[in-house]
Amino acid sequence: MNSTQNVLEARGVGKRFGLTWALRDCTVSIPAGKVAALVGPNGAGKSTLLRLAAGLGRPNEGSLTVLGEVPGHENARLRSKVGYLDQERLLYPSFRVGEMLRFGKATNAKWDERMAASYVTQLGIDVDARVHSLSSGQKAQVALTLCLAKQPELLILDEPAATLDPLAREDLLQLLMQQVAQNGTSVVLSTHAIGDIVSVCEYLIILSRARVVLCDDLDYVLGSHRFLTAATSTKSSEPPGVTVIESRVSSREASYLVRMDAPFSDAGWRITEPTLEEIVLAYLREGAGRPDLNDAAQSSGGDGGSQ
Amino acid sequence: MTWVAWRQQRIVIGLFAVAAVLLIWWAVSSGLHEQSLWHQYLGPPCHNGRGVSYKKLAFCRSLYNEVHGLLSHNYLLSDFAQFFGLVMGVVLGVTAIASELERKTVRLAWTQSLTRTRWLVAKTSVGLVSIVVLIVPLSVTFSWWVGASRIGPRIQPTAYPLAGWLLGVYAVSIFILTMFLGALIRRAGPTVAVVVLVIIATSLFMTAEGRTRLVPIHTATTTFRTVTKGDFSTAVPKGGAPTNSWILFSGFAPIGTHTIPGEADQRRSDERMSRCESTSGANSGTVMNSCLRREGLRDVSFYVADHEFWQLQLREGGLYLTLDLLLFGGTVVLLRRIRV
Repeated sequence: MNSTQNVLEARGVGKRFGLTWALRDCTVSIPAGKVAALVGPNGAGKSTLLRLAAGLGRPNEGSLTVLGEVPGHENARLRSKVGYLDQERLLYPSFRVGEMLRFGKATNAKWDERMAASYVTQLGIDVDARVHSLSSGQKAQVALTLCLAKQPELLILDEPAATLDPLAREDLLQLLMQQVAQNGTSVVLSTHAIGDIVSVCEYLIILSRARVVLCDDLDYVLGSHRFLTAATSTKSSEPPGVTVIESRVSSREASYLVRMDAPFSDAGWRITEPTLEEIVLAYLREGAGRPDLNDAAQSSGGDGGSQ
Repeated sequence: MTWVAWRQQRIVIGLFAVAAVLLIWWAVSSGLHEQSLWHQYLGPPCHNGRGVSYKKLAFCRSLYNEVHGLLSHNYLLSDFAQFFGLVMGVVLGVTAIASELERKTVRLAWTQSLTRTRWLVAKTSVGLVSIVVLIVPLSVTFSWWVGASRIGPRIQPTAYPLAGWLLGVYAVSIFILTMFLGALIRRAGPTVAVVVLVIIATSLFMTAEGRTRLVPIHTATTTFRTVTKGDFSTAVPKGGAPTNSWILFSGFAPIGTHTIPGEADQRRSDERMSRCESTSGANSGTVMNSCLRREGLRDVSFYVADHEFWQLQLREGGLYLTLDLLLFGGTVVLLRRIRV
């Protein structure tokens, strides 16, 4: 795969379950070699998008390509290049850890047996232990090892660190970063933990109410968002020339979280840097309140397909 | 992937292997015992109960009671043998697909470097090979046991499913059906419930209607002759269906009837005959024959002959295996469409 190519490209993707749209009009481009975080509240469509990318379903509308190919149930060649970790850490409960690794070897041509064994040893997991006897952290680690040892070009991880204690979470992220650093693997992971995004991710996608509300480089996101605050008596209207993401206006003070695509200079406004958590929460709140935010964000030019 | 499919089901297959060995042991030991009893009862001095000397009467009676007392045991063993194949087909079929879909572990397999079709082929192969390996010795054993236990002629419904290759065909068909319904319903419990209903419906239909449409039905007419011993004379039937056939109907029917008469027709014919016999007085072969002539009736048997046994087995088995191919194709299509 060309390094400038997008590892995941969705154009107007929609997925419906019965009458409910789990994902709607989703346009996202994730460049190669990045660790991208997919953030959103429960039911936002994160898992749906990741499962579509893993070839576990087909979109009802739009087009989706992964590593330049259309994922599908018979496209085994593409799946050999994609590692998928389900949020439910699916493993065969009656298997031993060693047998799970043998499963990986039996179902993947590019399986790196040494790497798998070394990861499991490094994590201190007994290969003779039954999967059902492992802790949830160990299960997540074994599941991730299965993804990593197939030497994928793209890792799709659905809430990899959910339900893990801080130590297990650190081990898991370390294992992940080790792979990314060694092999330049692209990663798309969904998460609720903002701390994980700051520490490992370079690209941010925010989904809300089945739609993409933000999709950009993390540095750009942090650099382009600011809080603009002023006394209500001096500034009675929204700041000009910026996209207001969230506003809080009281009788004394008006505060706006804005995205600035150009330098902002208005002496009447106090400018402060928001944290990533504040940015994410603002988008999620706005997304929840305004179902058409996706369209607004798209028209402002900072989201889906900006690469 | 075949190893994975085997690893997933090996405990279940192991349990069935143990059950198969126990069933074979049970059938062989009881078959040998019954064979020896029958040998004694049919040979001297009992001669199948005919011409037994007074001195041997008690011995032959106890032998008779022992032989016929095993009938319920034989039905039990026969049920176990038939249930074995059915249960094996259901369990292997439901664990192959419905359970995996329900527990969502298919996501693990379906995101590896293999196609869903290959995954299904591996699962199916392991199931089929296991069924064949376990059912073939069971079929051979029970084909022998049917003769040894004298549970009935092999063409009759009591023995027919046990003799020949149908035990295996049933198990394979139920396995494929369960996989198909598992892919359709995607939950283990409801899949088993629907499979059981389909089995009951199919079994009832095949016994009552289906099998008789797969092979020709023969007819045989019975005539009567009078046997007189001293003052006592009676009508003794002559002709009729062979004793080793599967008799579908035996009774009075209007001359020219080529199909098995319905219940109302049977009742009407019986009433006409009994009216005629009662007005004619003595129960002799002559009276019977003249009543039949007068009423335009005949004593007829509709039956499936023993020599149709393999024809019926092949046709019924072929029918199921053809349906299996269609169901397997349906399963491939369903699995390709499933989103998980």
